Amino acid sequence: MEAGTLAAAGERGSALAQARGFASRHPVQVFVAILVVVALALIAAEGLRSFAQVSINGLVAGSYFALGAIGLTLVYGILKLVNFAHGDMLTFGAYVAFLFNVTIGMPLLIALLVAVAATAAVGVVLELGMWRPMRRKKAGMLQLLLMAIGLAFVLRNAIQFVAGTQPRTLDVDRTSAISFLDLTIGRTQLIVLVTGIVVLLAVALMLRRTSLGRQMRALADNFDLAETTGIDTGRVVIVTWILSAGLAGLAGVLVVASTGSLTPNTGFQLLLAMFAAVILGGIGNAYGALAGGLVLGLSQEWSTLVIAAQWKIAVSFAVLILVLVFRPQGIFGSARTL
Amino acid sequence: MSDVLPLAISLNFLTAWDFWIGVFILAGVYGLFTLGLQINVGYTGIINFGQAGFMAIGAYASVIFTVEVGLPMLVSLALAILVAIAAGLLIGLPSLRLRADYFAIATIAFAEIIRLTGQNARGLTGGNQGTIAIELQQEESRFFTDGWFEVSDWVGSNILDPIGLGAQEFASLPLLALVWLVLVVMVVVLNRLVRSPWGRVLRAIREDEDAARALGKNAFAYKLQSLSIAASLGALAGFFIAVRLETVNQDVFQPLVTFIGYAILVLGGLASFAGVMVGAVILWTVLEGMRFLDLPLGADKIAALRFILVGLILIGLMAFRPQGMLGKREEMVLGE
Amino acid sequence: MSEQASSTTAAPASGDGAPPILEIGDVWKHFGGIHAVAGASFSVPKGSITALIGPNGAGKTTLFNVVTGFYRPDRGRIAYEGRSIFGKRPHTIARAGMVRTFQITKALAAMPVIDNMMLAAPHQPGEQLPALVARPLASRQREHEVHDRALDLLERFDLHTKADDYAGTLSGGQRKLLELARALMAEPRMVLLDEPMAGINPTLGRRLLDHMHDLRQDHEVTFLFIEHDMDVVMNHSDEVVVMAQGDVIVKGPPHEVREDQRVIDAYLGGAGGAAPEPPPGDGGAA
Repeated sequence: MEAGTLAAAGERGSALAQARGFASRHPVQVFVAILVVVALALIAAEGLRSFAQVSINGLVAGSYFALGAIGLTLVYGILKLVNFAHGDMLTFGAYVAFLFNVTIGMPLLIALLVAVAATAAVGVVLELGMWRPMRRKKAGMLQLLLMAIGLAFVLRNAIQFVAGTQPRTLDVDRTSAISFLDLTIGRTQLIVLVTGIVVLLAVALMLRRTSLGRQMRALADNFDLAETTGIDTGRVVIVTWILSAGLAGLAGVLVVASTGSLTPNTGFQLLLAMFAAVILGGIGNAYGALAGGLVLGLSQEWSTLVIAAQWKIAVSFAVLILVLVFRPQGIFGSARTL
Repeated sequence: MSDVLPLAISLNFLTAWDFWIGVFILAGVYGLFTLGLQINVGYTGIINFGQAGFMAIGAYASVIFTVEVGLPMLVSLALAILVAIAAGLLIGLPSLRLRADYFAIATIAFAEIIRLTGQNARGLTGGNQGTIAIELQQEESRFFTDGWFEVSDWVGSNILDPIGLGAQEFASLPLLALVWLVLVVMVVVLNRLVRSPWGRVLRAIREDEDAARALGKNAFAYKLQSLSIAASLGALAGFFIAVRLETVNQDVFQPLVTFIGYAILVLGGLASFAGVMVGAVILWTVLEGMRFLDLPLGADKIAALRFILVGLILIGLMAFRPQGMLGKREEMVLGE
Repeated sequence: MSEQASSTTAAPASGDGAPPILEIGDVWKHFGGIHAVAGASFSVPKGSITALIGPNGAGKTTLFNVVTGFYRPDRGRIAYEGRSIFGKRPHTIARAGMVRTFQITKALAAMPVIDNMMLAAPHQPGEQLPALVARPLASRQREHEVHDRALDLLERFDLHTKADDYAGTLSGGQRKLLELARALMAEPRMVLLDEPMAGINPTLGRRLLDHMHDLRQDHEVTFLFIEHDMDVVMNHSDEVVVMAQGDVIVKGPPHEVREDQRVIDAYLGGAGGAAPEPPPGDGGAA
């Protein structure tokens, strides 16, 4: 609703300011444009085949990044809690799956379902035993942050205490691969990718279509206001934790299935990448986390075309810092004031 | 679980002294480290989760300047502190305008980038083998700790001998003395600093940044200064860790280190510099004590138990006594 | 493009022809699609007491935030003492002599009252690290001066007995006074008060208003205040600026504004705001 031109009266700003204004009004388009430019540059430098191959790997990784990131963002959106223990929920899920799949010998699918259920249960127990009482006490941000960190310590090291530090692996097919169009994808990786995408879509649909999803979004928007409209906030919060922890457990299983290595640190090592995905997409925004996770997975694998593999993780850190510098509210986040 | 004290009695006296010297060196180093966190969290209201990164810079830079450039040790330390301050400005300038929790995440990313560099820049840092690799590569044999012997002798003859503590039997005693000397001096200096007009502005920013700005204070500049001070203290701690370990390896600078610092911070109490010293000693007595206990458990499991304890301390304090031991309830700004 | 909506302007305490201390021209500020401030324009004469009124949601506090630098305006002209302050940061504007208070008091609760006051004093070299280290005596001397002045000011507001208490222990009304006293410590030339009367009892409110008039009289301090208390607005301001839906709709002396149909419509049609009631009798400011 802006008037036409304002000559002397007013400071419109330079061309740079106008460009930034454009970018801030159309963040998605600008971001997609950046991705396309990067992709084209990589294709030009390394060839389409290499690019396509790493993109496949990137999508596989992106699918479990996204699953983890959604859980992280949902909890933040509703509780304003940065859950530093989230990575260790991934680890927990993976170890439960290991227990049932390898130690006990059940099929992976059963082990996966048990893992998801177990992790979700842990999430609920923690909410009832720790987070809810602290909220009642009106605990501040730093208090909750440090509690989450303490919890992360406890979880990670309890797992180490029980299971030891040697790397474990799940009983999955690590060798057979599928080829098409001169590209390969491991059979297990394909299953991971498909599972990931299906679950992601289901969650996205749930949030948009179901009344529960609407309630969750209402709480994320304005917790106190939602309470006055008669929403059973306690119940919605529990469901959020079930979802968040459950997805984390699932993500953990998928990570290990895909990468073949599980240690007590596995989940925590992914935490920063998940933070990056969450912030990239706009904290509190589930679709943003989904997009952010996929983009981050792709970016990490794309980077292997130009830098050594051990620096891959640095891509997540770089993305994180760039987003914080240029658009802290993320791609899908709404503008804040100065 | 048997107490440490009977252990000290039952074991060889020398071993017990070594235990306590080890505890106090760690406590002293972590004390310096955590003083930086205290000025950030307790007095400025910024949540710095990247302190391990500054420690890494202090350690690596000190070693590299001494070993590869050939500078005297204390000059290397001074330069290392400057590098850490520069890094602090580098991460602070873009990030300090963000909300507290975003800033925290940005600082962890920063610390991990530093650690990753330490791990992968093999030519500079020796990679996973640590700085011993670059030391061995030197044409003339030049080790980081060469310069330390002079300092150590100086401390021994001028400080320890006069008070009757022969440095000959306990090689680490000079390090302990120096670390604690520096620590106590820093506590005194920081206490004076926060009671000054400058400190008053800092506390106002912690309390309500907008109110401070509305009164003409450039909150951003003060936060940068606070971060720079923390970076210096972190680098100083890093220097001493390098001396203690004699070789620097990125493994030492995991985020774990920062969070142990936070455990010390909340144990001692927010806004209390003296509390940092107390918290550090208590925490490290417990942590090291657990290592020395004769539990019928493997090393991995004992390590896990130690950190479970750290986690429980964090959770317990935050839940039941957020002001820690020496913190004041009124000064407690954990509630927002 | 500053507009004068009414035909006559109220004469401020200082002579006509003095340039306005604050000029706002066609200022716009939006938040995600809503224009909180939509083309507001007015000017504040130096040494005047101006009231800014309007129904809830009219954009008054947003305008305060824009003028004092807490929000960055989308566009418009904002000039303080003849110089543009568009896009300047809050601390720069405060140091230029424009100080504000907040709708919800920002007394620094975990600091003693006296610290609250001394914080606001300008020109304390000890607040800069280099000067603190290099010129400790200058810093200490200034501390003494500032301390004395703070106690003086506290006494005027009857708060001196509370000087060493934590500001958090003060009552709501006392905190409001503390915030005003603190603002005055900064030796401002213009003070923006956001609902100064809200939540304080009539006696304290009276004291606040007396002080405001004294400062205007003795030191030519300009006041711009947001208020909902129409008695205060009618009886204590030289000029009233009325905002509705982000724009200035009427501006003029209190008795004119009170009867202006546009103002009555704005309040009645506004989001639950109360219409201004004419004071009993024939009203009119003294």
